[in-house]
Amino acid sequence: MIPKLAYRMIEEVVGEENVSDDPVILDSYSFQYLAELQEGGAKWLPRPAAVVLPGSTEEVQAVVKICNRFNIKFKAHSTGWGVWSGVGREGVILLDLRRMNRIVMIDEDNMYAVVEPYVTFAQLQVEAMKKGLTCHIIGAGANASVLASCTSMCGYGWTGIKMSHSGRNVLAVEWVLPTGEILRLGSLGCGSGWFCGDGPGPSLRGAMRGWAGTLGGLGVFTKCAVKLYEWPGPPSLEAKGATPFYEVEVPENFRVYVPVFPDWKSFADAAYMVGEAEIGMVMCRNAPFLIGMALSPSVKDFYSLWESGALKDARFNFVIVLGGSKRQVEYEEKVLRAILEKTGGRNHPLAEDEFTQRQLFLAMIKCCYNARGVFKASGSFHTSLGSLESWDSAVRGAKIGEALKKRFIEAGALTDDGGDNAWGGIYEHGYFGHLEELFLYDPRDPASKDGAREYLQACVNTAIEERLGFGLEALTEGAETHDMYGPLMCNYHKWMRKIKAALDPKNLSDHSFYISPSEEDQ
Amino acid sequence: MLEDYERYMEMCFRCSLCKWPPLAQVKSWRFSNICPSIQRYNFHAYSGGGRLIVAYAYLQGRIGLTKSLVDLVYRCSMCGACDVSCKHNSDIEVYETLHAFRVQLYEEGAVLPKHREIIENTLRHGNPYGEVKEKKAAWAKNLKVKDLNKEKADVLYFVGCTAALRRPEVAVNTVKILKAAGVDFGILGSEEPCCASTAYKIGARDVFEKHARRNVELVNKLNVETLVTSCAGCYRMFKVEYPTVAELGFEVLHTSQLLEKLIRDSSLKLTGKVPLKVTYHDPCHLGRLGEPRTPWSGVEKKVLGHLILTDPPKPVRRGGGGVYDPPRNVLKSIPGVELVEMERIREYAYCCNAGGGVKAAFPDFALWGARERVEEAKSTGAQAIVTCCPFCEINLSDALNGDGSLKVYDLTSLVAKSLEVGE
Amino acid sequence: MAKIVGDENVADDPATLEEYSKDNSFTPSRKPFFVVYPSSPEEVREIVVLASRQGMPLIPVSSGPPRFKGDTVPSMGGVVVDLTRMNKVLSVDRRNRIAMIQPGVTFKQLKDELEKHGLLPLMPLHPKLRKSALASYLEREPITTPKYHWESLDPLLCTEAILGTGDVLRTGSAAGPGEIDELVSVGQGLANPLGPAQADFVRFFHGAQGTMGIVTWATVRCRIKPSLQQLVVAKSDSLKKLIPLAYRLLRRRIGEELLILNNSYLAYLLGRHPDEGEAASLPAWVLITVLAGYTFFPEERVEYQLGEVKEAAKSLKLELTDELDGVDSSTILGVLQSPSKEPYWKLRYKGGCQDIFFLTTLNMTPMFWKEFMELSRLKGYPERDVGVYIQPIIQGCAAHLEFTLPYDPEAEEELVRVFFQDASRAMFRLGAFYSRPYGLWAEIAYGGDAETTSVLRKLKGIFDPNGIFNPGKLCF
Repeated sequence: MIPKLAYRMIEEVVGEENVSDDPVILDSYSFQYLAELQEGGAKWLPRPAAVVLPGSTEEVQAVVKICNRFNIKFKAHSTGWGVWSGVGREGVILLDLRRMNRIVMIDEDNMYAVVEPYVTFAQLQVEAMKKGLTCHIIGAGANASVLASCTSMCGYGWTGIKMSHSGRNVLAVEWVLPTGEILRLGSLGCGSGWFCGDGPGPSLRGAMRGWAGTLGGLGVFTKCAVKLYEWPGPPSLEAKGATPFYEVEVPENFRVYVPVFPDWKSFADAAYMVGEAEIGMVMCRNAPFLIGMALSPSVKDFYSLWESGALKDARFNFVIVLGGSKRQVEYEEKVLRAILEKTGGRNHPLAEDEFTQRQLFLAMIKCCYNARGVFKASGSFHTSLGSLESWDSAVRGAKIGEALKKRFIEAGALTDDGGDNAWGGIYEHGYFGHLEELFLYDPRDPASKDGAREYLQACVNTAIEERLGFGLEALTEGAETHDMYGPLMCNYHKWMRKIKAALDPKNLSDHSFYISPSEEDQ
Repeated sequence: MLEDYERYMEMCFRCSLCKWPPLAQVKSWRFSNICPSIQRYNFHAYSGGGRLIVAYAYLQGRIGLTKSLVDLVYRCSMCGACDVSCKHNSDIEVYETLHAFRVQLYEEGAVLPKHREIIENTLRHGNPYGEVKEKKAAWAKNLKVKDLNKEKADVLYFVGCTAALRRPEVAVNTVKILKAAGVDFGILGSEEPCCASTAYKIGARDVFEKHARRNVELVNKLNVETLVTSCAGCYRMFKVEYPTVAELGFEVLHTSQLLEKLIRDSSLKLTGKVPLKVTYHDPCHLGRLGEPRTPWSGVEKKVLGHLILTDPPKPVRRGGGGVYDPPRNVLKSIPGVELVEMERIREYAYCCNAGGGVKAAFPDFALWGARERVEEAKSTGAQAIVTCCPFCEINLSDALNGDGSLKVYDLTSLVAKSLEVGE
Repeated sequence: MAKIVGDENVADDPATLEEYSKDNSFTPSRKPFFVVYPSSPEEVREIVVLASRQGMPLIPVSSGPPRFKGDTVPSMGGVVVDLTRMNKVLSVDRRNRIAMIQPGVTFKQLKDELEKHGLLPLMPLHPKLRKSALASYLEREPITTPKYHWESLDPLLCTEAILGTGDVLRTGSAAGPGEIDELVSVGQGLANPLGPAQADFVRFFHGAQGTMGIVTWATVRCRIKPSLQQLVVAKSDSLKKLIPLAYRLLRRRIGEELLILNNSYLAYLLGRHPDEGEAASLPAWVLITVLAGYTFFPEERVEYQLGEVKEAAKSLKLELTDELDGVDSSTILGVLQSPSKEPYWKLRYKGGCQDIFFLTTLNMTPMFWKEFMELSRLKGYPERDVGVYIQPIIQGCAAHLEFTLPYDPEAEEELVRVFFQDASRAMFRLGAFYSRPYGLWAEIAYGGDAETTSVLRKLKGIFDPNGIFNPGKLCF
């Protein structure tokens, strides 16, 4: 419960209908994806003390200042998908930024957009495409928040080959600090515009996020500028047909390939060559299990396909979409064929089929049914490992992940996806890459949930022992992770803690998935 | 029982896809919302997924039966858009779970006053409006139409309470058209029962089942080949819900389907020009919620550890099998009519926001949603919005509130106009 | 200090102190107490621990002279930590296109080493011979190849830094878990600059003018040495006409190097006087780009890209060439892809030079140029001498705009000093962003952004609690 006066003051700021402490409303924010992987296996996180819907930066600031006045913790939340979106402890006000949903501007010449927190990738992409531009979209899908990905979360996606990573696509940012001051990063700070997020001097983007963001632990980001990229296709893609298999005609100046290779080495080599040749606008490795689930009309159809072994030769694959001018695509296609020849690869027959071509093109460009391959099967999935490093390192991680996961599959804890369910690709034309190990479990089966939890813990240990770097399992574990990793990684946690303490002296921004300002608070 | 749907609540993975059309169909920022409830009220609880969570919290005893709970549950037109969007990526029965929640609340006595009124009217007067049943025949007073209480015909034209009592021109035009096409049809006049669609949507399962059995028995006894209705709500009841409790001995068609057939086989010739640029609003009950159920019997087993496999595959109603093309084909057959589509159409159409008891209990919210739809229609440059449901037509007209820049028509009135001009 | 680095690596002779007490900027001269020349990160760490204990300012320097920006001139005395002895290219990883370098490695040295592996460094425009590559990247000097500039950090990847507390912090994936040799032995490239965890520590050292820590090595991205190159130059009498071409090429990501110069700047680069000889017939403005072919079908790559450029130029009614009057393409390529010979090219014309540079967007550059020229007329600086360099960065989202002002330090110092100050302020009022705030620009930039200043000072308090690193710079 928050003090009545605080509640009334918040009502004054946002309007009565934009704040609630009704448990009926609150519980819809306590239930979270992956909450069941906590001890006890419940889908419930702590209930927020209240949920507030601010409509502008000024309202956010005013609410944060009220929180400061009354020492009430708060947490920012937008599309809110995942356990890290919920509050981590009692007494926290959740700021649902849904009302802040504008695309503030799209600068066509300088190729960036400015968005508020509740703009999704789907919305930004569709508006950008009208101007011959598009955006990087993350693996979670186009239903996720652009700003949340750029400022606060991770940023992997299969458009990374040409469109980088959310953490590197962000330019200037408007940021309400935990103290209530508004910090404007980079060129925005002196009123020059949104085009640069760094400076003057050292870049405060470094405090905003790292490999991952602060997941609501360091204030509220109210606007950000994000890079856009060339879209050489039509201003809109008309998806015909009926759900669930809409189709889009592959435009003339695009090609969709699914090269497959004999082994991990040739797969890795080919990706390096693709990167160096700077071809492709989408590139993604999906395990055969994932592809099969996404393209099958029913689980039975998938299971028949799976058992038939037809997907076995598709193991070392990546999907690659070429797109550009006619000249460019002709050149890129020639190069791709040469790479396949050199590495013993071939285009999988699956990819020659028109239906598959249309489905893959739609899926790869619009990232519109990312959830299908992972949630439909067993009810839930999560991810692990997948640090961002050299492509060779990513491939090594995939092999290690597969071996580790097989133990848990054999024990019956995780769904048998064949063991290898590595997802990812190269970024920035191969300068780095990632492959995260997806795993499936049954969110309603206590043994499966326990097994998933144990698997995640095993991933932490494995990542440390095998020198795989900071991985995605760390995100779910929350703030406690840093006490484990930190001493092994130059005590970064000590410095992160100081940053938290400096910018949030009262520790009001819920640090549950970031770091506490002191070890005692942890 | 609500407990039977617990698995779907637990399967919600909080992706918020229920708030948008299937992402491949997002065509602009402006018209990228699909759920009027969350769009208006913004708290997550107002989305399809949000209501699943609330149902789960209720089942688990975390929240009780409060006024705000009931308000939340019923501040939703039960349009099924969330169900379509969710099922684009999953097999979660969102709509059925939300309906089961309403049934649960109703059986616990939590009924909003306006909804109680509707139920009582349905029971007492045979229509949700509380009009005396004789009024249901008033529209046909001067028309020579077979009375199937006494005569026989191939086709029963089931008018529906809304058309009969609130939009009689729909019924009048339909009769004109059927006659012009030489269809052998009749009506039940004041003896026509209520289909109990609104009662069903409110969660009054007992009222629904009683009406379903009785109505099916009544129509079966008429020995008609076909029941045709110009109301999307009535269509859905007969086509989709009644077969769950009774066996139908007749085909069920919506007028748009029959008209399409009649035009195709040249029984209906439309020669009169109706120069009009129109856009078509898919009624939820005819479209995504009008997708028939396919009976299934088979086995459910787990493979690969946790994959739930049904053999044969259990059909999942994802909304694609509704009635979408017939109304469009009819419109395209009317000389002079130019059809332009809105962004949110077919199984991912935006609801007019009248259904589910919203118009009665939350009239302001009903209008709010309809205004959103009207804006979308205007954005196409159309002069008129055409629909196949009198209830949609009423709410859209109410939203326009005399704004002459956009007209609202039932499909039948344009067809009738073409016939009139053609004569 | 002598115990740490050896007697021969500490200098306090007058000539040395004089050299470090000033540079070509208008920064007031101030002598350091002495200069130390460490040879390893361990020595640097010990120096920092000692200095921190004693509250002794440390001014890190990685490049040799000439110096221009005032960042290496001690504001409050102290010890210059000259890192030029730490000059090893520690490793080159061809597969991942990454080099690991120490601060004293110059671009020339790096280029020579990388070429053995079929690679080239990502370079700023014709840097001075003794320019440290690591310092250049830390300072955010724009590289001439915008397509490799995904964001401000590029091409910098992982670093090892000594903080003001003496702690060692490795940034990005170099943080581990594991020691560097372990990470490399399992196939890591030290390729990820982000993190570790939920902070990008490298960004605190980036653009910091040595105020947050001393970086002792870094991994940096390289590019592949083209097997084939084609210079393309678009000429115009108007800057405005070239901007759309630049945008088109940036959007399509055509071309390796891509920049715009006015005739004076180009003349200086070529070692010429803007009024004399062939330089006088240089076009008023040029957009220069280099098309390249690599491993697969290099000729076809160049051909298709050339086709794109020609098509764009035609539609914009721009004339293309691969050489200019009296200047062949190999000369231009040489300037683009090599460091300057000595004396540094900016000093050849008149002996002195001031640069005013800032960030903006490409489409704003004509406005800035117009206003700058108006101001130069007003202040009596010869218009013909103003060199203009526009470098698209962040793949075209922004642009580095640089006005270079050669002058005779004996005769024109006062005029140029006043012009520099007035122009710097005027550009800021028009919207210039001093992302690299040297000297006066720090006062201007931080004066206009109080919240950034406040937060930066908090971070300074974390990483350099005793304030030993280059005090008096930025907002510290």
